[in-house]
Amino acid sequence: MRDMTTNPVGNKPKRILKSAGKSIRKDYIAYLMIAPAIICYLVYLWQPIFSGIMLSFYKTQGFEKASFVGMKNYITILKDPLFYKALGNSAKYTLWSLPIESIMPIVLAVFINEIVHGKKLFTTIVYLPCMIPGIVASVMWKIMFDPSDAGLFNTIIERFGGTPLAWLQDPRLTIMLIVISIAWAGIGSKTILYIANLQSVSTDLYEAASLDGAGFWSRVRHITLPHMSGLMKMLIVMQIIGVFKIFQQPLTMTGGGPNNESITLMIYAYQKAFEYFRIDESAAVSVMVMTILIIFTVIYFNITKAKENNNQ
Amino acid sequence: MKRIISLLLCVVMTVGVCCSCTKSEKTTGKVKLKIGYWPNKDTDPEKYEVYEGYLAQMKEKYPEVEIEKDSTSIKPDVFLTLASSGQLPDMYRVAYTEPQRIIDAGYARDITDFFKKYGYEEYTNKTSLKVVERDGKYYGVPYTLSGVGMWHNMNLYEKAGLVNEDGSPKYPKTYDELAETAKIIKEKTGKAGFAIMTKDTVGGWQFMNIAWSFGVEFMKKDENGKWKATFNSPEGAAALQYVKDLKWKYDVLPENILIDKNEIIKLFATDQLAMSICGGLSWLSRPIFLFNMNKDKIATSPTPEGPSGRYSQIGGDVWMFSKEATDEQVDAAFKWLAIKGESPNLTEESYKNLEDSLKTENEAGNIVLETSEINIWDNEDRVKKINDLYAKYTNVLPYLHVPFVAENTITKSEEPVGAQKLYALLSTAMQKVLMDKDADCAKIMEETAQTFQRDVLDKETY
Amino acid sequence: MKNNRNGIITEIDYKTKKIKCLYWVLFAFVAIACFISIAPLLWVIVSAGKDLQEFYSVPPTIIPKSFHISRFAEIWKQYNFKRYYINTLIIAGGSIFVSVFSNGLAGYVISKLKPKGIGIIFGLILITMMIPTSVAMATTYKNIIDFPILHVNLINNIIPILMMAGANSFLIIVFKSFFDGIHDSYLEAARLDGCGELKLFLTVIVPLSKPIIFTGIILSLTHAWGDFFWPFMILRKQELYTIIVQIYSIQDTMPTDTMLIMLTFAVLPLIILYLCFQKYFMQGLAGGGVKG
Repeated sequence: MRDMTTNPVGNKPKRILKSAGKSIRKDYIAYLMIAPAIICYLVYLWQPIFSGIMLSFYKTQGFEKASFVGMKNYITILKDPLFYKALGNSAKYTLWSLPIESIMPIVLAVFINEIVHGKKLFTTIVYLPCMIPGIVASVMWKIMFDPSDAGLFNTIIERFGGTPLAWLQDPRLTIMLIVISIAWAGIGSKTILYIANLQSVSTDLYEAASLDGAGFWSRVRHITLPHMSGLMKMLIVMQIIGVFKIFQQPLTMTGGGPNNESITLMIYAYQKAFEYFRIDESAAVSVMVMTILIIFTVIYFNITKAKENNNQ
Repeated sequence: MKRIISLLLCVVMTVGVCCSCTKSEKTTGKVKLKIGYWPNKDTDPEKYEVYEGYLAQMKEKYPEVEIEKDSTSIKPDVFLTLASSGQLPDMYRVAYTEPQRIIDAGYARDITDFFKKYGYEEYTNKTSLKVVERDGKYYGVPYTLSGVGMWHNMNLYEKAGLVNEDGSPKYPKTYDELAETAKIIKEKTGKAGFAIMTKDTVGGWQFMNIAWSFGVEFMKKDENGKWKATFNSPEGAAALQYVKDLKWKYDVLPENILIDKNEIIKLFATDQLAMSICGGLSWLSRPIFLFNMNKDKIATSPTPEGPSGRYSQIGGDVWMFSKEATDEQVDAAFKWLAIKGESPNLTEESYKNLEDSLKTENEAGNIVLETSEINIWDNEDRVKKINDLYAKYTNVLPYLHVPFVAENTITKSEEPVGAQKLYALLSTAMQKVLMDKDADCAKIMEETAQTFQRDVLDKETY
Repeated sequence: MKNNRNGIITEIDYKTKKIKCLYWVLFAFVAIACFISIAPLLWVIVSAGKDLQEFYSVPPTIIPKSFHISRFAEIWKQYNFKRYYINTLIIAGGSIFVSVFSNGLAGYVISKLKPKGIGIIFGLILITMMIPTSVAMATTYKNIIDFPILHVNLINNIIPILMMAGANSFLIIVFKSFFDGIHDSYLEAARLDGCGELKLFLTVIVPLSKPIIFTGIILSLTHAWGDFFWPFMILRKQELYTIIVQIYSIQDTMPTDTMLIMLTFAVLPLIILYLCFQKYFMQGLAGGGVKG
């Protein structure tokens, strides 16, 4: 695989140029331009990932292949109740994340776009959390969610006479709170993308609608949202892919606990690999996550495409 | 433009080659030795200085050995990646729980010859030997050994009025007393009376002490030589019930139920926690170093007694070696250990070094107890010599410190099979009962035992 | 101010009472959202300066009583943060350059030049986003220790970090969507004028792409600044650490108060940088949203 794709760089280009037609010449330049990216991908992503995937079909000792076992690792994983717990949790993460992380940016973007007073300041502030490195954000939220009397939120609640909560350690809340902390750091960039997208809506459209007697919400529904739908579609896919790969935040904040209530597929894979030294099974989990995501993406794009066709 | 791009690529590549070729030069006659767990200059400057002293002696005595310091921490994910690519330090430190896993994974280096040659096999404590041995071969050098005990925050004991006339704490002798004492402290001070770790694998690890005292037997070989999980017993349920009662009946635990070592140390050092199981003497310096806690407000005692006796799980540190280390490197490493005093025969210089390090600890205001930990060396003369040194540099109020291991304490090392997985499962079980007031302990232990049987004991490899 | 209204609410609407009310409700909503965005950060920074006693008092003070700038100076000195800042700047600078160069070109090729077989490559790039990379940790590391073909060891070298920045699927997609928004006819016209592909790229595309290049710079900067795992694995000497790597490697042994000060060190430059260049940031971020 490596030889084929890096060839355009390594071969003697001059001769090909002279003898070939324009399209080959164009392709050659194109591949030259994409070569840096391809080299980076090959060396630090594709080749290692491919070797990693192969491990899922072997019994491993450390990271070395010991013997070929076919689908045995997959069967072991599929028999493990904890796998289903992690899978279910990933679904829960998605369910919480969709309303919080998808809808909020849209709402914010539409609202901010309406605002005249201090719009620039608001836009600046909304994006600010996106500048914070992920590990810093997790540690910060963990400190604020401290379930003892020393925790910030519990102190605030007690000031107002409420009963303190266990926050991340309450199994009913833990996933939602982790999603909130992730959303805190992620909403800003999406909002900015939507705002930029809104700039291309012509105000004439709104004025015309207003003359037709369409109210605020009806304008949002019939003009604004359809305009943003392309971007929405893409961001939702990205988000779901992201949710299935959630890893660092719960690991920092709860370690997957309490009672595995916040364990994700990725933490499950991580524990298999690095706490129990079962690289083979861990690789199998990763491959399954990949399969789930690819299937999901394909179905998703087919459905949205079909819908678009119907609408037209 | 193409030329520019190809030129850039070339530059990047050549820079890469140049930067790295210095690494691959062959050493002649010299032995390069990379040692892990080197004290961090920023966070542990005193110890770093002590090591500089060792280094000077090493240079003088064995000039052919060139030591490279490595103070990067080795976390589990980092460990496996480094090990599989041969990038571990030539000698690195792990805890007692690790060597068997590393041997399983095939990353341990056989050091049997040196282990015997330098007298370690003969003089190392038998329990510690078991930690690094597999089929008659040795894969590591255990160099400390300690049991777990209890530690007490005297500030809170004083506030709760639990102090004897001589200033010593009225510490609990049994698990029932522990619950009562904790309750008094909670009532008088409002602070948590007791805490137990519950996170990841450390929760289960601490739970073992309670469980053994309640008479839990975790696993047994049946007549066919197969391991069977046996902790789904009334004793197992009782031990878990005890933890549950601490939360729901006595209400003496902190609100946080996901507790690890750092959290315990923080709570303890900031007067939010009166006592907990203390995972080893190395813990004692942490509240002082990190939180400026007064060392005379820390008291120690043995673990409490349960219905089946008084148990203390032993633990400690082990040096292990990179699979890529050459014989010369391992040999040099053993010489280094001799200088540090981590060898069976106490040479004059290592005696002097030990004295220096105790002196440093003393001057830094860290706790130096009256005697050393449970001794790892089966050598009475040596033990006495070392204890004399401790007595000379001790800086604690003697009435605050009762040794971790009492006369009737049964020291026990970890369970023979799948201990890490067992700990993780038990942590989860503890989290369950701490979360749910109506949790059924017997049922949880039953489920935990089943999972352990299926996931660990029934698998062909351990 | 009157011309600023480019949203759904038109000038005429704004004169009715109902809509005016609605406007201020929206305003309040956005204001609250902004408060949530910024409050935790402020709290961390302000709390970090509390003295130890106040820091660990229960219940804690929500608005600190004491603020000791000297605590920051102490930690700065003790842990020698200057060195980590310099390292971070070098790595971030290099990563930004490589990342924008490599991913930007890739996005352009995929969007506009579409050579034969590019579909497969784009497919691979997309799939890469979906596979959790933990499976490839050791194999990746092997390629760092022993660079394929050249067989050089790149431990303690910045090159692997830069190359990893050069393979960023998300950025390629962002670039691709931007270039998708440029009409092909625009390029065809230039081609008919006899403009070569590279000249075309340099004289027509690059000037058009300023906003998207800003986007690339911002996204690469935040990524490079916050990345800790691979830099930690690659830079095995403490004097090469970046700020986040230093925090990551000693976080287990740090009490919360020191931790907060270090976190402040880690985020403050980013925040200041962001506030100073926020005009360009906004322009750049907006560049990514031309088309979904």
